Amino acid sequence: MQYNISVTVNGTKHHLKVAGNTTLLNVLRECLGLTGTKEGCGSGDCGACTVILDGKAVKSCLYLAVDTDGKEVLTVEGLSRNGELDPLQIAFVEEGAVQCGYCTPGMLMSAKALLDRADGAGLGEEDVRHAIVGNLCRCTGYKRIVKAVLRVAQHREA
Amino acid sequence: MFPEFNYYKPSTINEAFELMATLSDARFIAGGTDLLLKLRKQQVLVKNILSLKDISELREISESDQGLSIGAMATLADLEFHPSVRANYAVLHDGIVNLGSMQIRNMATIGGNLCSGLPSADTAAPLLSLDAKLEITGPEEDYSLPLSDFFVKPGKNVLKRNEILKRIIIPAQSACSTGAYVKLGRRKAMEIAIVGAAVSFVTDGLTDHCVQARVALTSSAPVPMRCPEAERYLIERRLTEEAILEAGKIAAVEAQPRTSFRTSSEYRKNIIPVVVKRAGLMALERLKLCKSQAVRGWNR
Amino acid sequence: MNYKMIGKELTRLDSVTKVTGEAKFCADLLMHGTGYIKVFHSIKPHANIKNIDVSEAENCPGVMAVITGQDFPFIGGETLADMPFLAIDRVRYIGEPVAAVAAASLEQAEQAVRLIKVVYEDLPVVFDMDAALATDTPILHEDVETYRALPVVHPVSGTNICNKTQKQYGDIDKGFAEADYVFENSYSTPAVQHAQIEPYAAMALVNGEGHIRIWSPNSGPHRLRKNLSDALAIPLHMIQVTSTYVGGSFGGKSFLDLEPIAVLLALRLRNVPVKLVYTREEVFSCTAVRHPTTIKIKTGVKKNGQICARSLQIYYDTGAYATFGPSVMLQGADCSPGPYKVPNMYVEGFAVYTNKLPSGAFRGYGCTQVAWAYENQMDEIAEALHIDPVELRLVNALGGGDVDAFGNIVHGVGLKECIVKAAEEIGWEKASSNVQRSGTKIYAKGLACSWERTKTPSASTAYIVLNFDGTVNVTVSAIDLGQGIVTSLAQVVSESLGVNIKNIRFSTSDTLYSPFDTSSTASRTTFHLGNALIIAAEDIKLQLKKLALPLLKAGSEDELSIGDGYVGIINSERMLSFQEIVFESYPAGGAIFGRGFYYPNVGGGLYAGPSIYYMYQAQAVEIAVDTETGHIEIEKIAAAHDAGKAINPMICQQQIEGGVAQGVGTVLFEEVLWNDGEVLNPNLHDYKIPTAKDIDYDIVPMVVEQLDPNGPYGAKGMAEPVLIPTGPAIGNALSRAIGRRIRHMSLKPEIVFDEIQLGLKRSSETP
Repeated sequence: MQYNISVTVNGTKHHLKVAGNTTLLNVLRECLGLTGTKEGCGSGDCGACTVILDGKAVKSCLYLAVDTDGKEVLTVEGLSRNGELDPLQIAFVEEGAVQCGYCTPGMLMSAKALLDRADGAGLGEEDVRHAIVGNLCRCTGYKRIVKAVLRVAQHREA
Repeated sequence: MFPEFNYYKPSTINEAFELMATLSDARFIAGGTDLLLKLRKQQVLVKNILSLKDISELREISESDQGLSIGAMATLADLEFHPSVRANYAVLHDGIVNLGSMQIRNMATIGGNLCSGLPSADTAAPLLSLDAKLEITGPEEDYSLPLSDFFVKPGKNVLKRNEILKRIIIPAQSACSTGAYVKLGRRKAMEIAIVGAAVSFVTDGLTDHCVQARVALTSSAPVPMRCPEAERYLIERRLTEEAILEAGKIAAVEAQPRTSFRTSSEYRKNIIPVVVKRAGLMALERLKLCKSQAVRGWNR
Repeated sequence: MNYKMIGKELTRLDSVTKVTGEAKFCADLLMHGTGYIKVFHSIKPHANIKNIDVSEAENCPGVMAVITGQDFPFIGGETLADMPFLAIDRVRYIGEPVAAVAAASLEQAEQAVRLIKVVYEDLPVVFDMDAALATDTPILHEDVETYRALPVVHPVSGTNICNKTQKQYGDIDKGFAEADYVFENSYSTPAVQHAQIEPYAAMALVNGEGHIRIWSPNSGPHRLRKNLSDALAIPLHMIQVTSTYVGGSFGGKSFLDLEPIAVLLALRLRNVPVKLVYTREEVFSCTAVRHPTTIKIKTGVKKNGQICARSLQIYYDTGAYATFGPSVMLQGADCSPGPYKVPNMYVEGFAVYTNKLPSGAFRGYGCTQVAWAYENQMDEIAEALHIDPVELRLVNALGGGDVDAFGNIVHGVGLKECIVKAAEEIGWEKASSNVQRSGTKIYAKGLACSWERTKTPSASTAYIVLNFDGTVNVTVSAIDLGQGIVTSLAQVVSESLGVNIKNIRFSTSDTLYSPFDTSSTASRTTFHLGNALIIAAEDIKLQLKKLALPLLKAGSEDELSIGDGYVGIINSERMLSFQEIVFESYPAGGAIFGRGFYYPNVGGGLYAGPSIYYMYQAQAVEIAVDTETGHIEIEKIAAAHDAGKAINPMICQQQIEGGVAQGVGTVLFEEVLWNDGEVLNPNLHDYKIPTAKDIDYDIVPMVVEQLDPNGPYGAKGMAEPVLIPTGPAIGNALSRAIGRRIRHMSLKPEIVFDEIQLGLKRSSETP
């Protein structure tokens, strides 16, 4: 069976027909060509597919597209506006938080959800680590990722 | 990829019952983080999936003098950020914050965690230690039962095909109660417990004398379990480190952990006392903190 | 030296494309009319294939083609050609690709692959090396001696040994006779997985002419082209490998894994792009792991701790097919003496077939396993001789100009500095006081050092084009796997050519356009390609001077100076920018083209001689052992690595931080587990790599710069060996903490817990 959904992705409203077993990840990558969101395991373990759904970080490989009807999705492609990088993206680049880059989109979305939820206020290292445990990275050892997120948190607070 | 299925989103419980009555080969789904995985691995095959996500009454969390009522479809993140859960039901909060990842907690529900019925269910041991009751609704009857009667075997609970877990009721906790859940994994996060222990105490309020004790374990038996012998040992005793460790040793005797590629039964048995002790000490620490705050409040 | 760009901490040039999501990894490529591939894998560890029935699969909706090994009987391999692209008549491990389907959608391919029916006839199995080396044991490859192989590969006919080596130096018997003490120990290491976050993927397209296109995250596109060319008997120029972004390799994305299967289907389908992306489960059950090993090591020492003889037998379990096993074992053998002065040395090495998924290249390339053995043993020696472990290492450590254990003189050796720095940073005191008890925890320190070779000899090529407007295009086949190589290389070009880095643009790799490069592996690229780029830059500078001569009306080139984008006359104001020189020389349009080819002048073929440089490193660690549960908590790791010259110190630090994290994970949490040849933990839930909460301790990266005489600006590689000393440093600390040594490189809580219990039992038994 096919289902009609209306979902807003990075500010654009899409009317789509999806099957029951289609995931949000499939929709983003295959229907909308938004390949910035990655698949690393398909089982919710690695976090490469993380997107923000109505303000909350979710794993799009385990989120059914049919459940996104009427919802708003933000993906890595929606972080920068008019070619201007988001402060979080700038921090990732400048702090050296990016190596191979495969976990980066998901990592950014988890960090963004954390920052938006708390608006950066009072966030410490533990909070950042707590927010990104579901985003596995094999290259960096996480240190610079945590530093980049904290830098944005402190900046927002100030 | 997932096999094909039809997806239904009833918006009331009655609608859900009606659908379930008309569809063959159908299952309810909550947050989906567990069932979808099983579908993907083809461990479960089902043609019709009935999501409970749109039934708003199932997601309500409310607190009263009677205690805390949690709609089964409340997500783990709803509870993680619920001020009362953190303040008054810390043992449950412990179970939730280290369950999976933030993303999973935004999707997974407390009802789903219980209904999946894994021996490692991190909300189960805390809820067992809080004497939680479940409210179940079905087309024929509504009933409630203690959580300890809910689990049958790994992955299996008492619910009939057309019944829905509606609410989890945690009785109000006395001012002199405290609790904590400690889970031990190999890593510090994203873990299935090697062993998890939830300990809840009620003390006499003056000394650390134990009036009531609940000890519950995860990954220590085919289903999350209470340890009645360990609890009995603690009653009327002073809650010292030694006493709690002794209760942990009794709990280890009560437990029937299994050997899997994840770890051995022996290792689990060996560390149950330690995990119980740590949970107990953490609970006591919280009580002290609570008392000292109360005293400060009194002085003011 | 005063450099403008060398030693500067530039942010990576490719990170903006990675934070916006625009970086295209292989799975991100979308082409119209793509055929999606699913592979049918063996469920038997060892069996003859009696029959494959694909008729039902072929009739499934959307199915474009179904192929089996019968259709394409090609055998691949780099060191030893023993592996069919799809199983031919026989399977040798659970997970081995047997057949493949291409269909219009992934779902259709999945449905079809489930309908393939294979009839097997079980064969006897060997799951471990003991069984594989026993007499009258089942043989996996009866004709191993007839396989195409590199000259350094010596299979033993009629056995499961796919490579055997023996190396010696000095007089081993005399060496042991001179020893005051002789230590003999046996160590082992488990299989671990790369667990790159990007799963393996490949795309292929073959046109009507038979021109083969491949899109792949392989770390060596030219090597891949050569290996495919050898296997398919198709000339090199007809194969085009286009590199995508790579989501981590760590040695894994080096072999003929998915690419051949995609190519076979593309050959069958013609003009249809086909795409294969492995699921995480497939990655775990049929792509390479790190070799499990058993290592016997015997060391003779003088009273003062000086090593006078060392001999080893090293066994590498290479699984069902060789892949890189023969050369991994050779590199392990070459590094098995450790970075020490060993006057009498003997090593015997074996790469052994078993009915498990193949072991292959993994960061450290065989050296991690031998270092686990020799560095644990160094501490065992230190304990027995009551010599401080740091002192013992310093007594034996190689220094510049020393002769190594195989008689080669080594240069540019920053080892001692690494050892001293790591020890200082961790607060090393005499060994006995490096242990402290606090409640149920024991705190202890440990240290280890190591070395690794690079692939030698190997080649790199570079083209640099100086454009009409003075900007620069660089065309190379460097693969950025996450190690930041393009940024470092751009710094080399900027420095050597004297052009602002903003005006330099690097190509991606495409074997049709970008020139030969052996591979971006073995920490070889900064050194080899860096040298090639300097040669190319010099070529341009030479041409610029020639062109500038008449324009500047100078008498001879000796009068000219070149730098900062200008050619000028020494002691004069007269100068021309590069742009002006190109423009005035070729007013109708033109460019200056620089060529660089680097191939180190080292005797012998691949893996036959000494390494062109060796990488040295030392790490010291402080751990806390939870005596109640057996958990090891890392408190701090001080990691000192000799980079020759750090072209970009921040990139070196990033490599150290990430490599240490990987090293800790592979020792404390990870291990591929099998039951009768089937992987039990083929997912990232049960194969546990560290999370952000697990690496919350201080990793102090320290870059030591002992200039390499042959390196670009003195640089050599440093990233690959980072995780080598991590394991034994932790092992040594643990042994100091609990008074017992665990000789298997897997320090999981239950294992540590058991050792602690055994230790308590022993000490209660002895009054």
